[in-house]
Amino acid sequence: MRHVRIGVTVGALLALVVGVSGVHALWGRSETVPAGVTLTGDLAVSASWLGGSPVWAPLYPGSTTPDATLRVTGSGSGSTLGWRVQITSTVATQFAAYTTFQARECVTGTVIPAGGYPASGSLPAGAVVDVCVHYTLASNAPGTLQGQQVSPRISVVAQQVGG
Amino acid sequence: MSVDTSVRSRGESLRSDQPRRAKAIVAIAAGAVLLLGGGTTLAYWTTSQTLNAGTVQSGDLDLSLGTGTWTLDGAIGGATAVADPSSVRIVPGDVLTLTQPLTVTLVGDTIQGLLSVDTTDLIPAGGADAFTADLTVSGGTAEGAGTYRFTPATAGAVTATLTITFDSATPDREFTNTDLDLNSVKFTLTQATS
Repeated sequence: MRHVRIGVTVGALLALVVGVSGVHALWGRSETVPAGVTLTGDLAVSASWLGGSPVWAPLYPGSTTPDATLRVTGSGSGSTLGWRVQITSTVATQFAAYTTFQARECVTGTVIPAGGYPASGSLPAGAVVDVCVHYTLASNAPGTLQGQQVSPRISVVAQQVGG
Repeated sequence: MSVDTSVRSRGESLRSDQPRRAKAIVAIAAGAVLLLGGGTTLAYWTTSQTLNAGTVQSGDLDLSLGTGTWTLDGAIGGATAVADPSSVRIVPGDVLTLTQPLTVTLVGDTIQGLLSVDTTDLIPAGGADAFTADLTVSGGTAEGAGTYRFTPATAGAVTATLTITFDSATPDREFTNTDLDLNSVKFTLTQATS
């Protein structure tokens, strides 16, 4: 009886081995594509003030700061890479309702849209854009804002366009 | 006296070996009978006939690649031909397409083949969301994702189109300056099991 059990077990194992190896024994053929290695691109942005950091004159209701010029450079690589520049600004909370910020492309005077400049098309890798910015304090700014820091912060974003 | 004793002793010894010898003789005789029996089996009448059925030949399964062509299609500028895909730098939103002529060989009365492409090593680690590779093949019957069934009737010259898409939703600077090893793209034709 014991011999019978051993025999059955060995037989089952052999059947399994033959079955599995039978599947792998079917014909197959593989070919690789000799195409080399492709690389993804890159996109980075840098910004600096032309003529050094601006020294803002004190603002009063209804006044506007002189333009300060921000030089934006989009660097990177990509066979189809295109980008737009987006400029946003924040100020201290108490000034938010009374301060307006404007960014224009210095050469054409085109206001930088919220969706980025240029509004249509894109800038190529390595493009440089000079952006003129200024702040205006609303004429209805309350006297409680006197002597306080506006604390402007400007963010520059290079946004890839399409692919 | 001593000689007689010696002779008697040898005689007794011979007598005691007799049963063993008898057994040996019987065994040898039995073996000889068996051998003779086997020999006489071969001597019985026999006849044979060859089957007049011609020659059967095994089939064939093969796959060969022609010269593929690449195009790069970005949201800007549309599709352009790429002479050397290793010279391009792809960015989110790009679709790199390989148009690959293939010759599928299937010979056999019951053979069918499954053509697929393996891009496992193409996609960089962690890049399953950023990169996708899709295969379409002319002539075959789509069977599951990226697998096409061929029969001897539909085999022959076919065109495979492999699109590698860099997802435009890839955020920030993920997967910048990353290698994609196009050499790892492998077309495989396997005999169908069902």
